[in-house]
Amino acid sequence: MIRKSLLGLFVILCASAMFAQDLSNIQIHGFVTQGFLYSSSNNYLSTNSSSGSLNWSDGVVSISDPVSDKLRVGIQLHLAQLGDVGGPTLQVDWAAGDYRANDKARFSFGKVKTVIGLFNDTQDVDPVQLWALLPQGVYPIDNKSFDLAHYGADFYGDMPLGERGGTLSYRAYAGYRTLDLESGYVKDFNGAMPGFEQAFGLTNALVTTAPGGTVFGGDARWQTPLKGLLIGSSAFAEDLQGSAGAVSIHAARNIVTQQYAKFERGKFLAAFELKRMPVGLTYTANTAGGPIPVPNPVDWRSWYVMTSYRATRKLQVGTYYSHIVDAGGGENTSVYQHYSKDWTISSRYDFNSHFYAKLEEHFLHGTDIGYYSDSNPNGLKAGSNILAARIGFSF
Amino acid sequence: MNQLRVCAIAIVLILASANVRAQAKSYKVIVNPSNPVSSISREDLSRIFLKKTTRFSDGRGASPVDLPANSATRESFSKDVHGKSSSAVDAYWQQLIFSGRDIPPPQKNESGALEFVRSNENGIGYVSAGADTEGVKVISVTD
Repeated sequence: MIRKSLLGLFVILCASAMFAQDLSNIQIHGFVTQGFLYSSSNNYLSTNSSSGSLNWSDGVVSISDPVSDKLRVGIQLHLAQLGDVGGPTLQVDWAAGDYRANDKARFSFGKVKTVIGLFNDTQDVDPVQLWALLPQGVYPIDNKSFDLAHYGADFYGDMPLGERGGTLSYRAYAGYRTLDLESGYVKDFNGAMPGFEQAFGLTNALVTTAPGGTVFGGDARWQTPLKGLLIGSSAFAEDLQGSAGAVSIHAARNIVTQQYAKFERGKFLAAFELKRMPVGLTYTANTAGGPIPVPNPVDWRSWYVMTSYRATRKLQVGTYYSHIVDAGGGENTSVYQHYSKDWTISSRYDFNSHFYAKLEEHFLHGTDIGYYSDSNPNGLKAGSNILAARIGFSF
Repeated sequence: MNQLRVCAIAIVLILASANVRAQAKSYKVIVNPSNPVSSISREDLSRIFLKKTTRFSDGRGASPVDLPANSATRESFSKDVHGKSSSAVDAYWQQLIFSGRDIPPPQKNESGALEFVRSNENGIGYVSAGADTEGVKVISVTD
């Protein structure tokens, strides 16, 4: 079903334009990708990767119309499947209006992509990345749909600070967002429900309505006077409410922080990010005898360092080390179930301005993220090597 | 004598550098004839074409028009003004397009770019060094 849908989308994209067309002022862009995962042990990201999995596809079409010099509207549609995450339903990545009063005061409203750190709002845009998989401790692909966008409004702008001051870019936003029912978080919730059913005599504990919550936050980044150096910080407050049958799911308002730096000059790039995401998650079993809360806090602390080099006009290579621990509930972060360490080497080859291919190897140790019990019924080994490959076409 | 030799060498190096830069500039920047500007800094020109600003330094609106992606003139402009290849600039635009943050300037062939600038009082574009620029004004690019 998903492959037929992607094929249909690809045909539509090709029929409408092999290259981006400027139909009057409307601009249409898009891309399609096909990926492959193979793991030496453990099935990764809800795929059957230990046997090799092609269940990793993407298709996007983006339509924008500059209505006037100050106002632009647009929409981006997305089909994505990665193992059990995602599905054949067309998703709206963003659908927004953007009003530019001046360079220092711009407004976006609608379903707006959320700017967090270096890559949050482009983490699903494979053509712009060297990496087949971004550092999962900071940008988990199986949960990208939650952080990717919010329904609400943004205020943002750029303020030049003079020749010796660089440029300050700032953004503030407020809105609401919902969990994708096909996301990793909902898969985790549903994975915990059989235990609740058994423990509390409940039935039909399943998330069928998307949990959601408010989000408000901001981002400030400084393009420094040192050419190529960018430093920034993001922070946002979020909460979440939902239910799985008779089990309530509640995450009290928590604050997520992310600091980052990037140095890019010529063919060389280096970047670093540090993220903390504490979530005071509580399940409440609403039994006949009354509600019984079951706290399940997490406190994800993650960071990565990366570097890349454009070896030739067509070939780019890079490496990163990513590290995440879950210190929630006083967990012992030295046991492999509560951390994930990922050393990755990657390459990207651009056949031309539209076609590209990526090949990368992950040396993973730890199983805190990226693994699901239903795709690993025999348990998890501490370490696994993952081969990730992707080909893509963009216009 | 040594001082004279050093000065002569310096003069030769400066002239050679200027000659290299003059040879590398295979494009002309054009604006609408009603636009009072006669020159623009490389940095301001880059900011306008990357849509980091929508204004000239005097506050007048700026509407850029680009040449097609496979244009040799565009490649030369991109390297000289943005300090990047046109493919690197395309990657910049892809990030903005697919994150919904912005879209690139319209792309037109050379005659289309000239017509865009002629008919748009805020228009700014660039054409090959040998293009006929009747009806538009050529401005210089400063460092």
